[in-house]
Amino acid sequence: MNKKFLILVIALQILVLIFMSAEREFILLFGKNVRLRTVPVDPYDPFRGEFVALNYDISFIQLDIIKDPTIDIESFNSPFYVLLKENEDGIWDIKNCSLTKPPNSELFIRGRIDRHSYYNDKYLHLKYGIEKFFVQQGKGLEIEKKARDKGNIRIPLEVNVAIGNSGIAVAKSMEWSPIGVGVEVLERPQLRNLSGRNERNSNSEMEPPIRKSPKIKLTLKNCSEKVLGIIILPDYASFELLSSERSTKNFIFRKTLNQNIKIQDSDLKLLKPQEKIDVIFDLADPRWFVKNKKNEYVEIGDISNDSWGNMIRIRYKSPLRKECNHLKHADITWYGTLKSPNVSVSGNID
Amino acid sequence: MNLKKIIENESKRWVAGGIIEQEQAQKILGLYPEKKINGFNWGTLIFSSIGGIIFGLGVILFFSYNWDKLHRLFKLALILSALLSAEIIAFYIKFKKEKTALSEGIFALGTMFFGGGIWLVAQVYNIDEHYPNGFFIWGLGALLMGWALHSSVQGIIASSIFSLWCGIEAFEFSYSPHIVFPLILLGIVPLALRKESILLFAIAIFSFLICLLFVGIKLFEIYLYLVFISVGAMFIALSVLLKASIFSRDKSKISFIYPVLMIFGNICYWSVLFCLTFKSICRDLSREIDIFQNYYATLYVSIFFILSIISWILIFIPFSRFKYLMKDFLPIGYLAIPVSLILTLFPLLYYYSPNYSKNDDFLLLTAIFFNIIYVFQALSLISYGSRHLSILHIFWGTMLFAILVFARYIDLFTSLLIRSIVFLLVGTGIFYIGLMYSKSKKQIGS
Repeated sequence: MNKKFLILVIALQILVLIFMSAEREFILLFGKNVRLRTVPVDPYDPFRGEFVALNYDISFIQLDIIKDPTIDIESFNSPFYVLLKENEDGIWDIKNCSLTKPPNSELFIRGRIDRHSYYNDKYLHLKYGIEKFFVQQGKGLEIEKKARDKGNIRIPLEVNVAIGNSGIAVAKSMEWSPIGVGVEVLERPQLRNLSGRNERNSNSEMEPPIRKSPKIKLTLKNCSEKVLGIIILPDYASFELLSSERSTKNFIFRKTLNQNIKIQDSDLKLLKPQEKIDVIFDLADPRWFVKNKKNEYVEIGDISNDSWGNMIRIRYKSPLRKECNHLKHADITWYGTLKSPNVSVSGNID
Repeated sequence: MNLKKIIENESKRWVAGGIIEQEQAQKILGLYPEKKINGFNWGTLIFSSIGGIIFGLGVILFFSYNWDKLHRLFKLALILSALLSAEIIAFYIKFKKEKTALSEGIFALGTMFFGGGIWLVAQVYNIDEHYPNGFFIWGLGALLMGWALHSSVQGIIASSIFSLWCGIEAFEFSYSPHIVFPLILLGIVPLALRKESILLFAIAIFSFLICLLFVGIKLFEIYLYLVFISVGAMFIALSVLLKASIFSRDKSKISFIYPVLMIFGNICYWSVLFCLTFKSICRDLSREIDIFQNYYATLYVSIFFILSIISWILIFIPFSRFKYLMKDFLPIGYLAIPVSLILTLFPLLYYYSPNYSKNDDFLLLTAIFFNIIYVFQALSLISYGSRHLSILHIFWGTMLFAILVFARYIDLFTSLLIRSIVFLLVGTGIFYIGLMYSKSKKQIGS
């Protein structure tokens, strides 16, 4: 037996551990800090303990925004660089992406193509190696409970991430978003038979019209401990409907965001802690119509009768801070974007 | 009671009965030297190693609780100092105190701390990269320690970790970590041979087969049958060659492994042979086997098939060895193993034949051939057992035969009359085997 070989192996084991930790420690100390929005769930790993599994907003990337023609979306596990841009609320979002390492003047995060979205081939699912946040046993469940608030409100988590020069990310800490968002289905579409005709006799003039698309209530809640202002522009100008990355069908909505509106003090709603504001979305309203195969705008319920697979989300977007400086409560107003949980066209909430 | 003690007691009776003289009794006893007590403390090795591994698992779970009051650098310092302390203490005990058995246990603890360290770093820095890599690095660390210490315990830890790694890769990520096979066959098996450790060898072969099964279930699909029948046939051939070498003059140092290869080889071979006696499985083989679709599976089948055929050629050539093996060691039914191997190519030939999908009588014929080989081999085991008074051979031969009869009873004959005739014949056959066995025993006794 060779003592020197034994000493070498022991030293190697220690060096492996030191190398693994030193690389991440260096990023924590000297990396650039960004904040990413995510949704938590809480599982358990027998070796590393309890963790909060994180599904970042930047985990799904729409194939349309991939401008680099060299990107082979089938090359799973190949390195993938996502350039980031900062939003008004301090949350970082996808700016662009590349298969080659971008210059260091850009802030980018390194990920790997995990798979296509399970549900929709218009999206790619990326992994950045920060999808697990390890917590003391018992706290994962607490986090999950808080994330779902008491009712149907979901409070997003914001994860502070340090990013090294090579794009390696290290999750540092988590914070709750000050605004929670929830949806409730007020009226569900009524079931139709396979031929797509209404079950009831459509010839009967006495019958009320059958609902084909859901009516949804979106709730924004102040989950912080201080008063916050929320700007809700008239004519739904602060909202847009999106096809969910989990939807089997990709919807293109007629109405897009239009915020070229002069913002007034009356548009700003002050919310005390725990106070909510509701906005109703009736998807039968022509403004929420979607494009069909003939490029005509039709009611979403006309082209989708799938009970779970076809999902949408409502996105709230506040005006930019610089556009609101003239407002009385501009300083306590929340600026940023929020996505609702997924709602299926048949009226189920994910 | 050992043999020396029995002879000592018996010789006292023979002296008292006047059969032999005291002097002769002493001479007889002198032929049986005292069994040397091995200086190595196996008890300490076993208990300290198991203790070390369990203690190490406890440490991993302790850290996985993830106290948020402890600073991450404190946790890292703790695990690094624990690893270093364990290795230094084990080093000191081994080389200064020369207590090898105890040091093995503490080195095992060190390896567990190394694994704990990997998971702790992942936990502290919230690393969610491809996590099975952690098992790979851990297993590699254990394997290197195994070679540095020439330690079976480290080899066993490495085998277990590699199996776990392979299982996670295959089932969670549908990925085949091909490197696990050379790691086991070229990393752990040579360590077992060098240590002459039958336990480590058995665990290494078990790990190899388990990894092959994990990868096979997820990625090989129908090729799994072909891989396992080839591996089984190869193990049996190697085992027979090694068994022969035990009784030859040039006794090989590695011949101690023959029972392990024989047991695992038989398990693999018989399991697949039994499956291939079903026409439906032959049909599946012929339908789904496309060597141009699954390159890795084709590669694995080809490698093991060729190695298996070479092993069997080594039995048949030179002819003198074949005659020697046939005389004492090899039940005649084993000669059908190469035939089974070649028969597994038939569904493949059918797949590429112009008659494909037109007529599957060919597949029925293939299944019938497998049934005949199976019965022939099972009966041969029984016959060999009767001739050599080996109850083990008789038992397994009878069991295998009975299993096939039950299988065919269920899927072949619908007529109760035919079923009853089959059972009557089988029952009579087994009764006849019993008679033959007792007759052979009497002949040898007289």
